[in-house]
Amino acid sequence: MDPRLDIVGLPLSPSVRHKLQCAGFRTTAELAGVAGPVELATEAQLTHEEALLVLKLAAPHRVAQAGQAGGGGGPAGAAVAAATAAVSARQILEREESATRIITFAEELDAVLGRGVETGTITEFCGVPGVGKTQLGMQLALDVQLPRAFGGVEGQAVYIDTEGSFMLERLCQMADALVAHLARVAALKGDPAKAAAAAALTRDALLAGIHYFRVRDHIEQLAAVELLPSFLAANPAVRLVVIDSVTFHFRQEYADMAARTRQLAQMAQQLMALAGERDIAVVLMNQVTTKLGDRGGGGAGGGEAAPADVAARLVPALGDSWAHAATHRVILHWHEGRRRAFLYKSPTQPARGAEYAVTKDGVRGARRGGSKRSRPA
Amino acid sequence: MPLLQPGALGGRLPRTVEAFLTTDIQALAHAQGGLLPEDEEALQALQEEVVRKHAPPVLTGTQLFAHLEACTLLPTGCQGIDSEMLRGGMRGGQVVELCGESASGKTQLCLGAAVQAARLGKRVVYVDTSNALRAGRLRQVAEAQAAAAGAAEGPPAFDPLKVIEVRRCYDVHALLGTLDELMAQHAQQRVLAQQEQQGQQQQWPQGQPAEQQQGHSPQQGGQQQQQQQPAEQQQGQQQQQGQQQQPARRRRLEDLPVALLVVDALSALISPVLGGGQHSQGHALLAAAAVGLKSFAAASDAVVLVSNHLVGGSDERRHEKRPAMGESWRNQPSVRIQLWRPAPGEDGGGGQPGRAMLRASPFLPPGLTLPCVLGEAGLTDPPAMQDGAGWAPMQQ
Repeated sequence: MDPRLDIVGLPLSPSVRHKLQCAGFRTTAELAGVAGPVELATEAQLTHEEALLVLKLAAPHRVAQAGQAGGGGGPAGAAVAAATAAVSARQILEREESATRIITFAEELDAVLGRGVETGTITEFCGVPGVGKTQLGMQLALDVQLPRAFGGVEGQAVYIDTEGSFMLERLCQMADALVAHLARVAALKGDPAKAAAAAALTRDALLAGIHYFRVRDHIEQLAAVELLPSFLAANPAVRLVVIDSVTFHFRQEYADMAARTRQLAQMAQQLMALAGERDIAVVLMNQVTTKLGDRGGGGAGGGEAAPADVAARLVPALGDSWAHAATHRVILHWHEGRRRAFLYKSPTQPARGAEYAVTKDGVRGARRGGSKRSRPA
Repeated sequence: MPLLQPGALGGRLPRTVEAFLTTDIQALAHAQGGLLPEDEEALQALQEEVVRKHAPPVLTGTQLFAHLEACTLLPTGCQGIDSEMLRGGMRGGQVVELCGESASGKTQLCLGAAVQAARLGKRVVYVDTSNALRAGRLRQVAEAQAAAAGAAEGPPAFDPLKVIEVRRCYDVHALLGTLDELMAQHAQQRVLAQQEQQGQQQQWPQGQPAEQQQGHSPQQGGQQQQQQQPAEQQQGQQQQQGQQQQPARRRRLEDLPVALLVVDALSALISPVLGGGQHSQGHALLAAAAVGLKSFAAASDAVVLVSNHLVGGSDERRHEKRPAMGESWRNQPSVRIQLWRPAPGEDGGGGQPGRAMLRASPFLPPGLTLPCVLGEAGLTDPPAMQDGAGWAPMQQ
């Protein structure tokens, strides 16, 4: 049997597709028989440019055909210039084991996330205003620059600010605290490599490692995400993208909800591709919304269960489809006057919670907040 | 064979396969201008040839039954779902859909099923659209499953992660391209199997093990062969470990038939192109994906496991949430299982188990609901229902 990728599968405009179908081309296998763009253009009444594009798009599949017809025994898979390279889970495991994560500086939160924010995935933090989303975003933008000598990623960060909540003074305060902390650790350990790394990491260096985009409406936001692949290609040091918040412009007056869902899904998929292909961490901040009506009950339709300690009726914004956009979803909330994070969704870690604190120095573990209780990690 | 002149019929000659199948040559002959007798004869012959080439083969009920008896059953990792909802497991050739809200355990069931199949030595292709597959987690699932299987199985002869092939697809075109590639590999395996049958082993100087080329043609892929596969695989792996210096004996993953194709999550690829009422292309792509998945399942006898999310159900109107991708997808999967997130107790520990409900099945009425829990081994039965020991709740 021939490989029969339907021409619908090629990213072609509907009009070109229609012309091809009218001329009797249904699969890429059939396009393989065409001698060249001129013949295809006459055959299907396309312009030469269109015909060239069609053949270019069908090319990997044509190679598979030729390999089969000619070699007879040649492995078809090897000839295909695969759109998505096949790797075994074993290879991924090896890569994963050598990967470094971005720590949050709140030990318990890191433990819940599994050693910190994972590169290659999307992590979403949801919470009410003031719970520390922006603080966490700024902290991560600094933490990603931790030198390797300290077990860090030693990368740079892209910060996409949609709400205008990015505070430079606060960032400087956090950067100073980080620099002081590293110097203290280096002095304590007496490690010359660490001391050198700590000395190189000044506040100016930290600030230079953050690429800041201020986004004013949803068009700019979509454009910024669209721009990211080329920006990251030009700045390969970037290992973290923070969008704070992803929600803001999509919660404003939005007439066409179906269009919103589609645009969000598209953006999620672009970010997903970015995270996976470039092995960067994408951190999204999301607001919460109030959900009316019953919870948990009501027959088959219900069943969405919030953790017992999360304010019962607050759910992440942007709806059910968006819930699938993130690989990990963490809900930040207040609990008896303390900040807590609850890992709501993760493909690797069990759902559980941890306390954290926002201090003068930035996001830190809950111990500084007073209580010394430690949790099994 | 009569010949048709290129210029004959003055442009009324059917040019596409479709036209050949739909043109009434009698009518053409009697239409204005008519046909020369030899042209008509040639056209008739051509049409017959076209029909012969494109008509599907005829099968009898007996043959279908024999095929059913020979079909592969793959476990999901959750015994309740296997025995009660699926009547033994996921059947080769079927498309099984998992739907549920975010964090309801879809990915975990996919991972569990992938590891189960891989532990049997079967090749698994895992299409990951949302970076949810972490190999560390896969290894954890594999270890937990091996522990649960206990001593009955003995130590694992090979690393199941080696036969799980991961493809990261971020748009629907990449998925369709992958499907095309898998179809090409399948065709290649069949060619090899046929050549093998004709006793042409000498054409394969690389000394690839003969068994592997027997591949996966539905006609000959009997029960016996299905059972042979794990043993062969283990043998092959041991050889591989023992004889690293002999690359010629290396078994390539792409030569093995695919037993399980997981697409987690299909809806993530489709939802950016679907909806809004302005996108005819979106529906065409959805249809192409559905046709591609189903024809791959049918051709290769593989199980296709896709996950889907839920949409709708806005609270004011109390609509029930329904699987995404709309009506045109709704009837595509043969089996649909809906999952609900477990309601965790304090800090996620303990609490009530999640639920799985059969929403559609070719042989059972929908509505069957079973409890299930998330654990180290993926989505499994609650401890009380399990007869085997060794299940431990996930702890960190």
